[in-house]
Amino acid sequence: MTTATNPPELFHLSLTSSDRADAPLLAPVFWRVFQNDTTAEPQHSALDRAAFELANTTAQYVSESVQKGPLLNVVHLTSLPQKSQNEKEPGAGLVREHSVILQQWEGVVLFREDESFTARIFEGYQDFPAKRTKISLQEVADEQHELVLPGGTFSWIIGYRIRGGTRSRFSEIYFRRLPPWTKQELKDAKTAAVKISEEAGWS
Amino acid sequence: VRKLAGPDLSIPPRSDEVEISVFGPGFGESIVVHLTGGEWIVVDSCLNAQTKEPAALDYLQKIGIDPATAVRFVISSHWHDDHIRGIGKVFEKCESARFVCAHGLEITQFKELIGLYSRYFPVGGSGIREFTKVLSILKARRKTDSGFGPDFVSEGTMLYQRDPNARIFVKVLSPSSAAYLVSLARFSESLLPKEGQARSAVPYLEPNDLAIVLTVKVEDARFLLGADLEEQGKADLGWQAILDKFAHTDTAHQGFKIPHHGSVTGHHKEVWPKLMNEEAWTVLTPYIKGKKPLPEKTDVERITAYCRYSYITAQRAITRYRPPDSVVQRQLREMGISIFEESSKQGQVRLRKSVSQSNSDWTVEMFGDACDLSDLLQSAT
Repeated sequence: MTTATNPPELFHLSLTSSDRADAPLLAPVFWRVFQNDTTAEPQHSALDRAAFELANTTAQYVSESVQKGPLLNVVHLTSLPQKSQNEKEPGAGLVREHSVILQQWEGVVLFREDESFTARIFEGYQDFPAKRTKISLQEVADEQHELVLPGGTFSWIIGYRIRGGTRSRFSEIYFRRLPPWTKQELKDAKTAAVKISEEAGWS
Repeated sequence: VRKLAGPDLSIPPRSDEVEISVFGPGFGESIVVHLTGGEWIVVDSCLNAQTKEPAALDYLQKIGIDPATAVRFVISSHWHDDHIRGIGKVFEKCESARFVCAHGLEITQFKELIGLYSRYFPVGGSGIREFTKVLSILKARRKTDSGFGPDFVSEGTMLYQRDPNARIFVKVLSPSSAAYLVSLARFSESLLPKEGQARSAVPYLEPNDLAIVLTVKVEDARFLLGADLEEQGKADLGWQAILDKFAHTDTAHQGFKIPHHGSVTGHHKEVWPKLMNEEAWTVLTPYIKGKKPLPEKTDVERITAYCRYSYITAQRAITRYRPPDSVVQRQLREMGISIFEESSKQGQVRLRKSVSQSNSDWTVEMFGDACDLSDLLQSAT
């Protein structure tokens, strides 16, 4: 999962560890999120000191593993010094920042009201036991309000961020702007329906 | 109805005792029925919040029943998350059972929906996942001689009849023929996405016209399992359709699993005078989904006004959840956000009646968080 806000150096990223039993289930959704955000999917989880370039952007980050856990790897991303006309020395203007995620929920919107929405939330991808909550739309970025619809999915993380010697708590709700259903997927579904009839006698 | 003192969960019913046990946490419902003679049916599934196992299997195991041989039917009354969670495992363990679902789910659009979401949208609901598991079991069983496809049932289907004199049977009262047509249109218009449409979790299909309502008769015992069937005030749909077709033949039920968690949307005022016995008992399960937990106070007042013996499987549909991390707690507090758990409280209401003695009483036992429905009114005051 990734969240990004402007300016680009306020970028933090967490990866789902590939050793989770249900990781293969998660990959398609996450992959599409990355794709839709026109950010590149990280090619590997060992990002220690690896630099990668975000697709369609010129921003570059140096990443450093801060915390590795069974569910999440927290990665510290530091923006590379931007070259200016004055050609500053390497390292000038570099701001170190890292985030520690204390809680992460996945959510599905049940219904939306004028100023809030109600959602089911669950940890990881185990949707039992699920929880539910009512969240103010103020907690969602304005440009994402159009995604707050029944069936809309989001990720919600709570943690703290250490940047330049200061520490602050944060809560970020990020709605997935998933790609639309494709002709091929709908065609595959028709093929699957035929197989269901034949193999399971569901007809 | 006689309330047993010192209930003991582990005592199985005698061979001549009919039993209906209703399980329900804050989110979910499951029912097991003993049809006497060691034959059982399971209607819907929910998970035990502690063991994370299907409540029906947990219970059968506790009373020493082998689901592989004893369960005749596993019935999915409808495919909402709160009625289907764990039904794949239930069907897997009930090796000799047939799988039953509503006429209407055999349509191509439903199969396409399963094919689409099981492959391309693996989060956000258990309905598709459970049906996918059921399909894989059906597929495996079809490779053996004992394999059958599912039974698609609708109004009037005699699902089970033990004897030619119809002393013991399970009959389907819903869904109606009209419900099939309405749902077919809904599947095409609302559920199955179209090319270019924004991807989201499977939308909730409401109102639920395709719910399977059952009337169960075992000798002189008779009860009605109302699933989540709602009433919309339309002829040929919901409870009106049942009243129109069965009010003259399927009457005098001694018990009623109240539909739709006691919501007024599942209430039809003619059901009580036309289908129920005056001294009937009722059981319901709580639910949180919408803006208010069910049953609401007005629902409890309405139901308890109709009958003296009303029970609910869990006192509270929701309980407050506190995240373990104090920083997270502080953040939520500052945001003014409360989080509630769906399934932390679970209970069971068990009713039994001997059918070898005429006019024997029903006995009721309550386990876990179950209580008299009227207790909810007292706790609210």
